[in-house]
Amino acid sequence: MSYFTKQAPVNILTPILLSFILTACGGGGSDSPTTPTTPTTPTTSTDDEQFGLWLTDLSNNFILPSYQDLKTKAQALSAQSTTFCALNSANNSDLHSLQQSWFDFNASWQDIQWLKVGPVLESSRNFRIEFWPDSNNAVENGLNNLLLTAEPLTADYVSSKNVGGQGIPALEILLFTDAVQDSLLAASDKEKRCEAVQAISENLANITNDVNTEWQSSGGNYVASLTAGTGEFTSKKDAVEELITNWLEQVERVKDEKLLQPLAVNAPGIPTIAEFVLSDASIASVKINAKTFNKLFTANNGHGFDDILTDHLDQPAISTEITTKISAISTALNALDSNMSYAELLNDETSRVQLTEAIQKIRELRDVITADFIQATDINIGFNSNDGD
Amino acid sequence: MEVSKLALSLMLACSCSTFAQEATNAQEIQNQKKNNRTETTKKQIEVISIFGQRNELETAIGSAFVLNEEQLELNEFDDIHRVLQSVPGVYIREEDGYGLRPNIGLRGATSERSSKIALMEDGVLIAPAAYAAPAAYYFPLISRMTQVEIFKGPAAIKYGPNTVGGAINMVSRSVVSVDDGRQAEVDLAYGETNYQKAHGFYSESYDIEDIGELGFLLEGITIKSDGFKELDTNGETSKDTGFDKSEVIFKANYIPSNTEHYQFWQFKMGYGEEVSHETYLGLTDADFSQSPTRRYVASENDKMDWEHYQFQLSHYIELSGDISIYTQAYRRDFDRDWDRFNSFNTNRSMATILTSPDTGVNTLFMQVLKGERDTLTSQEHLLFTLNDRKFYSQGIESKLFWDTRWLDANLAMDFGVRLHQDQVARNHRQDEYAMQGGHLALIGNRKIITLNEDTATAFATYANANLDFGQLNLSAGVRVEYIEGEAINFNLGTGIEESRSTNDTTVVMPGFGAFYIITEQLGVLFGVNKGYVPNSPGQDDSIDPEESWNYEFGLRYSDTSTKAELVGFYSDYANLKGNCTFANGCQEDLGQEFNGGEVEVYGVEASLNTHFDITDSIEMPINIAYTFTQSEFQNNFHSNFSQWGTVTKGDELPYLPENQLSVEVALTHEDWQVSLLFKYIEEMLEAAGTATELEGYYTDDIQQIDFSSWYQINDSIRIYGKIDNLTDEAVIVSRRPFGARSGKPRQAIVGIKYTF
Repeated sequence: MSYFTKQAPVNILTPILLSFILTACGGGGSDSPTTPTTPTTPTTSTDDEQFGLWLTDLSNNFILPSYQDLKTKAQALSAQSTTFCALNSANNSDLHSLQQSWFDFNASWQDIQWLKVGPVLESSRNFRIEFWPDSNNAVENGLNNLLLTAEPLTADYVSSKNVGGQGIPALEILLFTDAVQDSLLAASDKEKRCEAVQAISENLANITNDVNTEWQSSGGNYVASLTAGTGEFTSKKDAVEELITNWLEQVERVKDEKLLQPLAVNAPGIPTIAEFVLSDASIASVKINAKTFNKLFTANNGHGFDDILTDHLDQPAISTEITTKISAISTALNALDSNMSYAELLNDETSRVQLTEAIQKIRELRDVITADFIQATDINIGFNSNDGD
Repeated sequence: MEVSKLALSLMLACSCSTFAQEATNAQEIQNQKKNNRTETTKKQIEVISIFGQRNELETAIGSAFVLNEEQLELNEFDDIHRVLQSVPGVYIREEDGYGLRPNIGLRGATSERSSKIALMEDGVLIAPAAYAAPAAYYFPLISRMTQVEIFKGPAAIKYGPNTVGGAINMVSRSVVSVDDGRQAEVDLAYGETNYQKAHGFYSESYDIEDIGELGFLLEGITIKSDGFKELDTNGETSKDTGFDKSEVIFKANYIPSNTEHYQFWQFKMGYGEEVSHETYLGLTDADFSQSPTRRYVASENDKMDWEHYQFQLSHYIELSGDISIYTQAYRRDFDRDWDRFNSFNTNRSMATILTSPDTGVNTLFMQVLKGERDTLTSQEHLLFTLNDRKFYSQGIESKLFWDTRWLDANLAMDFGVRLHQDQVARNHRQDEYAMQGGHLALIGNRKIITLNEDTATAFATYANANLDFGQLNLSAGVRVEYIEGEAINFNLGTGIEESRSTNDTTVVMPGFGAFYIITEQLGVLFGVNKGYVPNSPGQDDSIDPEESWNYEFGLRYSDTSTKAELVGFYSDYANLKGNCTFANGCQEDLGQEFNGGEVEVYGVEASLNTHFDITDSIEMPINIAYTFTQSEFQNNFHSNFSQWGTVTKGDELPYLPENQLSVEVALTHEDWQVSLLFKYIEEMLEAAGTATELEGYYTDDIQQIDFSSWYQINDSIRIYGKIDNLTDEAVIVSRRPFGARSGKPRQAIVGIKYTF
């Protein structure tokens, strides 16, 4: 047996082995270092202070005044309801006045709808103010239950019942119905309906009053924990991250639920799933939502992220980009024919193009927030983007 | 010249056919037959294992570790994570506590679903789609394996496609030779959480005149447990959180007689299935501290269900005393469906909800998650995904072994060529549920969320030369792979093809190693190899493959009672990649890969295996493994990959412990053995940089002791008992995919083995 004695052909082996060794020592494919996208370079100044300033100004310039306004508008709505229902023979003009109070209250709500921290979350207040989207017909069912009950309708009674029947959408049905037999002016049960309007309006006044009180430094002083990053927040940065996440969620909500889904793929769209079908307040609400994006970003002309990006992080380009994109959203929305209802806009090709443009602008804002803005500010938003389509 | 152990084994392994031709009388023929048969099993192992007679551990080029059958049987581990805890340089991220879908990394290669290492059974890649989707959703029951080999360093280039960290090969039970007659064993075990194991095999070979040797093996194993996690019952009977996993393997060997060249054929087929009530949903830290084994009711319907088929045909032939060829054709099909809670119907991530459960609307989501409150709004609908994926992996590989002499040295050359194709077809659907009365209620709204098909075809070759000068052992090799990928996306509404992209790449991966014998007991090793992990099909052009240069330098000591190894390693990544998977908490852009740029990973691995004689009949073996690891990103960058975020130069890689230690001390007697295995893993970062989820979070330190023992009642019967996690350590082993999760709590198991 001569297992190890057989000689290999050296003239073949030598170059093979040499090539192995040479390749091993540096040959092979390209391996030039990959350099990922270079992020922004934050300065060494205290982010915490900057975040604190934004939280303070956002609270003082935007959140607190908004909740104050919401409370005021709710009280006005409640008062108007009482006035309306006290009339022996209310007419269209009276109803319009009441409807206007509802518009005013809704506008105020749309201004602060984005915020989902603090007192508004207690006892499902946010859902009781506006339960939407409503995939289970909770609003209609809740309202019907109120109208059918023999119990006298009071704010307390309403507040103990289904959240769907407690807020803005339920009032919209009562105030804006197209069906004469359900009208506050002509319905056979108009007294009961009026009772419901008053109870729901007062319920909203109570809710918004509670929210406002709990925010105020003289009340629950929630503003202190938000601005200091304490309480439910682990730091100012944590509070900022939560609010920015709120902002992004509202951006996505406006884009998807308020615009994209009703737009659908083709005309006539799906106007029945709009936020306010009967009052046709959907586009007006979206316009208000778009304006809040700027208030949020700038702390309503206070020490906003425009200042932080420009002066603190030396990222003026990102600030400008965000401001520009927010402005572009409003421009796109303002291009819509104000004489057309949302249903008509959805069924009109030119308007559909404009709506698509507005959606695209919102998408662009979302993208710049989730990329450049997040990187520059070094915050963690815990947010999954989607296009909803 | 003194014949080395390596040479002796090579002679034994490869000389049979020559010897047969020279035999002249009946006795010699009988002897020859016996020798042939004896070597048959060895050859089976030789060609399917990284370490055969050609490559002994003591002189192996490259850091290596082998767990043999005896070691595997001692602990009776069903969990590959526990099996590998005594191996230096192996990083584990636990997930389900049973290792059903292991996360194994080697030398800094990301542990995520073991997708960056070459995982093999009997030398064949076992990842469902090793190129197109390498995540190890299939993993065999380790209890049926007879050897586990871990190889880091240059030898990894022989296996591919992933050569950054190394290779793990599991050797399944071989068919007995005729001389062994038959082998049969039944192994039954029972333990806490209604753990049940039934494992049996039967193997027999026959020598049929003028035909040859025929042998077969039939092996079956089933393991089940009710699980250690406790679902919130909310007034109802608790549901099962355990698993039921089974495999059946059949092997048939044929060694023809009267052929010019010695050869054997082997056909292997296997079927495996698993139903496990596993979830990606973990706990908030606060709830974990109260009850680490709790599971929120939102995960009550979660279930993984898979089936796996494997077919292999292998052929080995010795063309001469010097040249042999081993060929394997294989096909594996894997069909899995993981139905599980994925998120709420909101953009808010689960990680955010679970890490800040008291902040803002997270409070509301948590109430629904626990079933404390009914779903109120559509945002509180629970999205339940039905992630159906079908995989296949097929190919043919042929290796030529050539042993000769060159430059006064023994030269062993391997040449291999492999044509491989694999595919993953994803069909992910989504249902909406509401929480009602403390339990999930189906709403419906089913929609398809992912419909695509990724296919990879690879033509791989390698050549490796091992030159043994006696005192100096050199090895040089190169692997070349041509990989073609195709990604097809289908329209989610119509199912019609929407887009198709293709890419191809050629990569050359050289490796070089040396082992120098300083004294009879002490040697020094050096190795360098290029590491590579290919891109999955459909990646953006900006995504680079993972590439690194890996270096190792070490000392190896070996005498009759002690083996020790001290190896320093340094991996210099030109680009390290991250991969978006549900498993790492990533929800967007599933399957997308991310560049991490330059990274350095370095450290030291040390192992010591020795024993002391306590009495004439009792020994005390001690096995120690220690790994020190450091890692550093070399660039500032921001990544959307959830484990990275905004990374600053110098940041560490996540899920790499700086220190990990394993100490095993046993008392062994001919008839019994008891063993304690202590494991320590230092806390690990859960995210590298900032501005990403789990920023600043660490897993807990893990300090765990496993106890095992057996007693041989007679030649046929052995009883065993073990307690995993003796001290009932309950720590956070990970917060991915969503929320804090624990390892397996204390579990006592007793069993009996009957051999006949």
